[in-house]
Amino acid sequence: MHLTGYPVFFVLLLFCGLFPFLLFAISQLVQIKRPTAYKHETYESGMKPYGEARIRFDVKFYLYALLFILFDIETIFLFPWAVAYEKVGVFALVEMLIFVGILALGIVYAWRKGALRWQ
Amino acid sequence: MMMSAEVAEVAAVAGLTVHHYLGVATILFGLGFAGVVSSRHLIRTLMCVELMLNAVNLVFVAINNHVNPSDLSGQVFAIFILTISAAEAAVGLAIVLALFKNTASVDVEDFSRLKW
Amino acid sequence: MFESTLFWIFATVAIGAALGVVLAPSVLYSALSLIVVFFSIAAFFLLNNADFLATAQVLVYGVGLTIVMLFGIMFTGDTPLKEKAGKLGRLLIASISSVALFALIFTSVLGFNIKQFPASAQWIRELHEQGSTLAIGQLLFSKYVLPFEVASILLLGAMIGAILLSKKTFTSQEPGLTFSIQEGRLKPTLSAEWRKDVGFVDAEVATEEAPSSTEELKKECSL
Repeated sequence: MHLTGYPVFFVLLLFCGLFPFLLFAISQLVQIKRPTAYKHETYESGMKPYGEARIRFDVKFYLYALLFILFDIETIFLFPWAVAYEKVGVFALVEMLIFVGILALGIVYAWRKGALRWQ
Repeated sequence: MMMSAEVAEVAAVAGLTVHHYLGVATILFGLGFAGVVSSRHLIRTLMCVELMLNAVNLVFVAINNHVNPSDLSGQVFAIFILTISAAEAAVGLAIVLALFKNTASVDVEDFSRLKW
Repeated sequence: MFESTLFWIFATVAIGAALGVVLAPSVLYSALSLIVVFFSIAAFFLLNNADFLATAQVLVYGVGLTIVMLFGIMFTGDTPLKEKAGKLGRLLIASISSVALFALIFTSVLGFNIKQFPASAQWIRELHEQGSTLAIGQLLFSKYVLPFEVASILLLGAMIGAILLSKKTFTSQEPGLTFSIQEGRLKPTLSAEWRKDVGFVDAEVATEEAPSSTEELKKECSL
């Protein structure tokens, strides 16, 4: 509840949140509207799109996303270790090497299993 | 006694107590539970589980900050919950996708083979 | 005052978005409103002096987990479920049970009155100047070393399990027909019972009646 450093951050957040809307609003106000049939075509040249926008994706994309989130967690653990490194010392280094080593087993498994091969 | 009650009242009006956060976390947990019970889409069920885990995280952090701010154990617990929920989501979604590949359905009611 | 304004704004946003997660007609919309819930919970973490955890929340939940969820939705094609009777009854059961759960937890929350250990002013000042990352790092490598290592084993298990589940050969809905991926192509295989049912005759079935030894074959040929 002691937000000493955060007002600037929240003001920035508010600004960043409102900025896109502001840009669109300015564009709406300033632009000159003379619509014709050709201007309403999806592309000026090229094919007309067909089918639905929501198509099914291949499962191989999913495998990459999945490995990404598990290594994302590894980052979450690496970050405090890096910040506190001077205070926690060699013991933490060894622990961290074990941690990364165990996770490296996972990526070796993925490699051997062919999960990272783009088919 | 009289004095402290007055102080508590003033604090409740001006600032936030731990109960505010606990209340929001309870509402989120209840909504997540309602989603788990009512949803028929498997992925939505998983998302509602994530919602419940997030509510629990909020409780850990709020109580840590309001009860004993000099020991950040609550935040460390929250990081472990984060880890567990990521692992749960990865395996859970892999199961959902395997089910979808086998039966071409994500409806919870289609998977009733073990129902007695 | 500033904090409580922020709290009420984010509380409204979080609860509204959580309602969206539960009630949105398409599961894609509910995934998108889940992102809003995650970000407002990150804001609650900031209000509670947990700056590192707020970052972790955005990094893991707000980005990583929702990407995985969206890939799951895209893979299943976001097909709307078949309408079935009893939707109202299910919603009713869900709302009654969740309101009961809410009342149960909320009454115990209202009675929450634990002894507080206020921190020293110096600690609070240090926390504000350096953030909570350093303190979390120290705790993680002193008191919580074992859970930290166990977390890596959990992640390894999750990784192996998920890869196994997604790389496995898959079967179709038909009981006798299985598919496997061989050299990047889908290869169908029929099981023995299925062949008998369909009346499928192939080389294996034909050789069953065939003579087993060369002597018998010679005999048959000479006849």
